Amino acid sequence: MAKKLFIDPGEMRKSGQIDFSSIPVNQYNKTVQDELENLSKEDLVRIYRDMAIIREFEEMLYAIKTTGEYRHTPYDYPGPAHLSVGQEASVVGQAFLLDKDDLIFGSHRSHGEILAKGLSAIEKMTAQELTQIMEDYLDGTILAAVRRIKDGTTAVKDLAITFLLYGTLAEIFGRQTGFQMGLGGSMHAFFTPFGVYPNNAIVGGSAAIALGSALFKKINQKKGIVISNVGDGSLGCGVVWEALNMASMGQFRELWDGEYQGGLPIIFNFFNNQYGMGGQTAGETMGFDFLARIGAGINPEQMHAERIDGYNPLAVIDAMRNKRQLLEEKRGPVLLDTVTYRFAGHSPSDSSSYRTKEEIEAWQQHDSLVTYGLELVRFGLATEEDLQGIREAIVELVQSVVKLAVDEDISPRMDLPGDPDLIERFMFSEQRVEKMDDRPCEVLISREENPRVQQIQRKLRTKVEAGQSGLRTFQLRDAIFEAILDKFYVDPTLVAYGEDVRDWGGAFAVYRGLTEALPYHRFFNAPISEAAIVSSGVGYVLSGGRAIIELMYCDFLGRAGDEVFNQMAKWQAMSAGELQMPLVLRVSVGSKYGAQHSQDWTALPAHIPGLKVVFPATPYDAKGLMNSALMGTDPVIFFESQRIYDVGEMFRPEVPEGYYEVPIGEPDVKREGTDLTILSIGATLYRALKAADILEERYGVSAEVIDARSLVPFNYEPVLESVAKTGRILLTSDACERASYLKEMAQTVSELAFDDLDAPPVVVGARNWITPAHELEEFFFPQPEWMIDAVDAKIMPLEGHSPKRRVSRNTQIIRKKSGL
Amino acid sequence: MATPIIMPKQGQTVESCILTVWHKQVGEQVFEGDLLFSYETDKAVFDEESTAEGVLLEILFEEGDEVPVLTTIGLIGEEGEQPPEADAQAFHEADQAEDTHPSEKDAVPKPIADPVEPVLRDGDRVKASPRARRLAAEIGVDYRQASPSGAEGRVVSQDVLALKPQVAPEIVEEQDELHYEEMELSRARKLIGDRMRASFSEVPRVTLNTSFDASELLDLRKKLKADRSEQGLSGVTLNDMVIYAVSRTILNHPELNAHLLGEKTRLFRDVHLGIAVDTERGLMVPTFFDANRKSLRDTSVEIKSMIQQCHDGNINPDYLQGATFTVTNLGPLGIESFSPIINLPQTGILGVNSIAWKLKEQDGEYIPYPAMGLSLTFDHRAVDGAQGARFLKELTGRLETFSLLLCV
Repeated sequence: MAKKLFIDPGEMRKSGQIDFSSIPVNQYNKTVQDELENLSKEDLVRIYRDMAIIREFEEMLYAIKTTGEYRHTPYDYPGPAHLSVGQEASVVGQAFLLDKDDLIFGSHRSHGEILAKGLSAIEKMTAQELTQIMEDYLDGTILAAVRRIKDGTTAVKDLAITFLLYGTLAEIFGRQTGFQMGLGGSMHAFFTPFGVYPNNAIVGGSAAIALGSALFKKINQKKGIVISNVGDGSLGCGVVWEALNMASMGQFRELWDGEYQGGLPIIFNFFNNQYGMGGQTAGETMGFDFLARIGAGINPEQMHAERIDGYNPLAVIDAMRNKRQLLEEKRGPVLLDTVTYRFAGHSPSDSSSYRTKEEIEAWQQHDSLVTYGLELVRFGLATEEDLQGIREAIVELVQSVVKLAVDEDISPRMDLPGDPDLIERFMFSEQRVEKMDDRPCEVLISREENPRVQQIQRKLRTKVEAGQSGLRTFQLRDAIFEAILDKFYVDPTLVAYGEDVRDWGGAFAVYRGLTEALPYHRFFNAPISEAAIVSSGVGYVLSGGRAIIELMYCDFLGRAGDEVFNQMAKWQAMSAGELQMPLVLRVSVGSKYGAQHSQDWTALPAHIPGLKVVFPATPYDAKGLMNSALMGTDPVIFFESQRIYDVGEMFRPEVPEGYYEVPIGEPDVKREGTDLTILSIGATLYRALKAADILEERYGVSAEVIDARSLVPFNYEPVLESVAKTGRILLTSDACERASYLKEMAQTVSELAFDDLDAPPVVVGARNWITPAHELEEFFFPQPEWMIDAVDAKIMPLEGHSPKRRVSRNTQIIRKKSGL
Repeated sequence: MATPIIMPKQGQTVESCILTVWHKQVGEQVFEGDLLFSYETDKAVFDEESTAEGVLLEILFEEGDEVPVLTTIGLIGEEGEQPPEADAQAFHEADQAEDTHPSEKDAVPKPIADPVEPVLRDGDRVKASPRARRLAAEIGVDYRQASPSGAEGRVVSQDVLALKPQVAPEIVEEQDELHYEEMELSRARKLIGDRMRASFSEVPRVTLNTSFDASELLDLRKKLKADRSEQGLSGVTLNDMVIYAVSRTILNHPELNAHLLGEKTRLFRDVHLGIAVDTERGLMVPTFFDANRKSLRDTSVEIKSMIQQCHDGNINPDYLQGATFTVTNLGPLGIESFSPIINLPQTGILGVNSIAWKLKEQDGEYIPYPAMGLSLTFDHRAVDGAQGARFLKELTGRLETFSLLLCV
């Protein structure tokens, strides 16, 4: 959607053909001698050293996993070890030219990437920088442990190398002195000061996160490039394709302005070790034959795709030099098919039943560590004795690091025995950060010039009576818009994107007015790629920005399942608080559009630890909660309902024009009463109020109506206080009743208010069906009469009431028995 | 396909009726026009004839149930036809109604019958909400005595509050000098007080006094006292004999061997007599369970043992509940008549008084005889005056011919 781009039917219907250009395959053919033009002798020997360090580190883990010891140090390590023995040349080659501002995101098999990138960064940093990093990181905890084996006479670079190996190994072993305090482990270890960003245990998980990080670099004009390191097996994953496509969006070149115009600084590197676990990608589980081929399908530049020889570190360095040049010229993204092979199995438990011994032995004949060493010797850059000396020193280093990392005193585990609740403090960062950067905010017009703002000024912001909403009233959609617009003038890093947000203004007109206010790079349309939208948001904010992303319908949340549940939710805690996640995900609960467009799925994110979940139902609350979400540093799933975008404020005297916050987690009493508490979530509030009216008028029952407003966190105190008064509680929302969040709330109230209850807490949700057509929705979504029936049957008999629905125990048992 | 039997709607305002009698049994042949069932509203009683022919396959409500109007209460079908599963029933029913009466679609939606729920039976535990239990403990009343008004027959807090006496505002007196001693009421005392107050203030009660010729009782008592066998007969008291007679009589007057629970009366099949015992801790009323099944000797031995346990304070609390009727004896203290207070939700209590000599006329002569007084107090909501009197008449008759009663 961009009026600037004219779609010419003549062009569209014209006959012709698409031409592809050749995709280079392993075309590097220089020797070590040739590379002396680009690299020093020391560099070339250091390549060997780095590869040898990684080899020994991984061999050490293999020994511990399979024999329970490494060179006489016994240790039982039950956790994962996806080793990269055999792949050293590819990671060392990739990292060799990169520095700390170049960010890599990896996979479950990334120990080698951490070490290679770390070693490269250490080489390029000053002693002072390194000392600073080691002293600051986790308040010097890791450094203190390393100091046990490296005294003050050790050179800072050597100290830093020991620090790198120890921090990684302690993390793998789940020690508090690991890089993530043991909360990440083998598959999630990383170290951002060296540009090593989260490695991901979900196959392909890093692709779109890296994309988000590249967006951050581009939009905020930060130095460096971003690399997504995933395996060939990840090309079976939708999110990887989404990421390739979204990173190649035409708008970067066609619609983004000025310095923002041009391609993303990202390399999608596939460490192509030929297997996705046991599935052979070329020939068995994929059709690409050559992985690099897929670049040709993504954009006219064919993603500058190339197959490179990952068994020759120099070939990889060469490719990285060229590709980096492309990225700096804003010609990204780039796709690399880095051929490699692992000698060990997918993990030590793998007997390699899916490949032959001959095949493994054939690759061992090509072992890059051996062949590269021979090259160095052949061209007189090192002697065999030199190399032996390097290897022996490494064995000694790894040995000392292992002893340190298994020492229970020096490398203790997180003290959960002493403080069983310790991990609680890592689940949310709970910071208040007004803006993530201090530079001026880029906008196109002033707030006052904004046509939507001018329109809103003509609206009534004061309290309206029920049913009085209309075009002259300040609506819920205006409230969300206002909070977001204001933030765009405060936080320069803030971006908003999603499906049909620009020009259209969002499917529900919340964003109308943002297009006029914001340049493309702060507000843009994403492809219909829910997974990549969410994951790129994750990458954007954990790189240092703030973002609001949007999925249009709640029902599309399933498309972004892993991204919401495993990425958005987990990284704050898995990084032991190092990363923050100021990401707001807007999802809109529909109605009228049937079974796949009308679902309230609040229970899904609310179930996942690490997410905050809110669902405002009034303009005042919507603006206040959005302000809170945009002030915080935690991931917030911001539920909205299409039923109520046009409601006016019926509870507060007015919706303030200025800034105010509604704290996340605080329910709000919308109507006071004495006989019955009704707790509602979301748009159901208005039907709950109707039920309260009927109870009052027809049965003389005074109901207190509480609007939950938030689901996670949630302060139960006002609800318990209300129940202490009324002794009765009914809970209602538009979510299907079974396993809805109301059930969690009802159980909690039962537990905490047991002695106050005169009846069990009763849940009135939607039926456990598909949503029927709009004309029949009243038989699916909770209605005031349903609430009355439930009150009468289960809470307090209402004199003269005869239920219109089946509500008895037996009905309930029968329905449950039938799965209904 | 079976034909549903519908509870008719009698007038616009009637929402439910009491099903009083089923005139047909399940399995019985029914012809069109046969009297099928009777029901009542708060205004009148109605008989309903069958409009279908076949066999009464199933009844969904029992006699005494309150049934929403237009609800299916039973099914008539062909011999051998299986009634639909009870649970599926209501659903099928709804379908069928739509099929056969499409014109009713636009009418006011019919109340829908839920699958039948089991009714509260004797021995079912009393359902009370957590709040009601907590409140009862706080104010020192027994929630089991409350009339349930909550959903699903649950005793809720307001029912417990109804048991609680209204507390008079506290009067603060200035105290210069203590001319009296104050003692905190014991828990038992408070409990007794609350129950008595509740009973006294809530129950429209009536007391009937009578007396009977206790000659035969006294004769028997004399003989038993002299018994030196090891059968334990020497300890049988006059009170034991009265209790024995009550246990053999009261089942003929079921409304007195009963609990009044809100909208229903629970009539017991056995007689569990509360025996009022005066102890240092105050009044205690242990229950003599299944009194109607015990011999006179066992009655005497068991009651003696319970009284002792009350004095010793080690009576099992299970024995302090569950009574269906109470006997209290102030005779040894010389009381000639009194008006005992009913232990709710029981419907009556019998006071046993002292023996006084009275004269009776026989063949023109006045003959003195030992007259033992009885005072029956009952809850007029559950028992009418004549019913109470008939009980007393049968009881005194049996006491005067006690030896015959022992032969039964």
